Amino acid sequence: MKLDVRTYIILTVLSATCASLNTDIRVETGIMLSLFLLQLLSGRGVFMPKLALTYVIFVLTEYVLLPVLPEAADMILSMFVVNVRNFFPVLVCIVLLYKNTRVSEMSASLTQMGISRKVTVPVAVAIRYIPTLKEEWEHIRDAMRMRSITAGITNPFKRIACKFECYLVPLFVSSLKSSDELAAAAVSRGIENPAKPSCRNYRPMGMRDYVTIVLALAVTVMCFLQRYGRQI
Amino acid sequence: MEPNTKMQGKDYITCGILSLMNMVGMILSSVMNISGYTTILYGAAASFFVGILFVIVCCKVPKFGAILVFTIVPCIYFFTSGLIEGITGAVGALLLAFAAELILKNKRDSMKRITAAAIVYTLYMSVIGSAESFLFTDYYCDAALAHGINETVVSQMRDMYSVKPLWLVVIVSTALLTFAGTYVGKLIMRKHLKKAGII
Repeated sequence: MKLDVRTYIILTVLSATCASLNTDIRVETGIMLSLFLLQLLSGRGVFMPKLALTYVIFVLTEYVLLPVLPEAADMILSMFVVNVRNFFPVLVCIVLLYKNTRVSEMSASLTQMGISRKVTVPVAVAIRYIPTLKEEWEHIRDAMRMRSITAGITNPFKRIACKFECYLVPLFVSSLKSSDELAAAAVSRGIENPAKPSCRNYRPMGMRDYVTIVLALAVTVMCFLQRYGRQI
Repeated sequence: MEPNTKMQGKDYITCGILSLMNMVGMILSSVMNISGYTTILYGAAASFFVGILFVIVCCKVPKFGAILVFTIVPCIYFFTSGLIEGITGAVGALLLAFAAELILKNKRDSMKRITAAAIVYTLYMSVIGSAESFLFTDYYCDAALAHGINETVVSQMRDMYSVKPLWLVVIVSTALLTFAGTYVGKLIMRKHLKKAGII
């Protein structure tokens, strides 16, 4: 089951809203189960078992491990565990959007919505560049490990500065070179053509999109009422 | 022939990639949220990375609108971080990006102007980002407690955010680290990027 890119965007925003409003773990578990089910229905490779397992580990850490740990350990871990766990619904929605949508489809839908090229081009490039950035970082890390750059430096501040320079500069150089190459490719494909782009990959929203949005809205309203119901 | 001062397709691509790196810097800086006392310095830590990238974006794309485009991906990141905080963060970042554009205008070769614009730009982290915690301390801390954060950590946060002059310290430290970031960015530019012929 593949949904429209706008549905995934709305789901991401609503899940972020639910995560900030909801304080009940049962509601959160329900939301997470629904999102994982949506991932499973979206086809092969969308559901990430490691992500689901990580979420379960975070929940168990918060509700089983932290209460029995010494106060100092609880203090150190609590904020990290809660903040990361709260971000999981958004993360699952981003995975849904990323794995189910090609960048061309997203650009087409955003252009059809009337969003300017000033927004669609940077967003499309940023999304497409995420795996490249990860790959570049791994290459730089491997190269630095092989060379053991900070071997002769004893001053800890100089070590940090040296590592900082050796990791960041190659990353900036490769990113800026990639941006030049991408720009040349895009210009040759007509990115600077002033004519309105045609949307070959545009797909209108269907019944399943509307049903998903209505269900997500209902859950958001429920979270809102659960939080502020007594005050209204 | 006069240089083109309008943003073109290739400029949007460069700004898109640097905007992504801006967001990655912010995510990496969130390591400061590990305890109640260090969380106050999240904006300052992030502003160091933003300062470096700000110099690069100003030199690589010296056109009006580059900073606004550079802010798009972090805005999306803010938007996914919750309802009120997300909207205020995203709107604040865009407003201050526009203010930075006004400071820079079309004279983007002056380091003083770039540093001033970067300091104004990163105010969204120290002023708008910390506004909720300093102005609505009880609401913010109660919400943190309700989400399951340790009581001692929340009381640390409550004690800290109740001291209102500390907000000024946060603003000053963010400005100082932005200054340090722009200085490092300038060094990286001169030592590496210009020599490599990238800028």
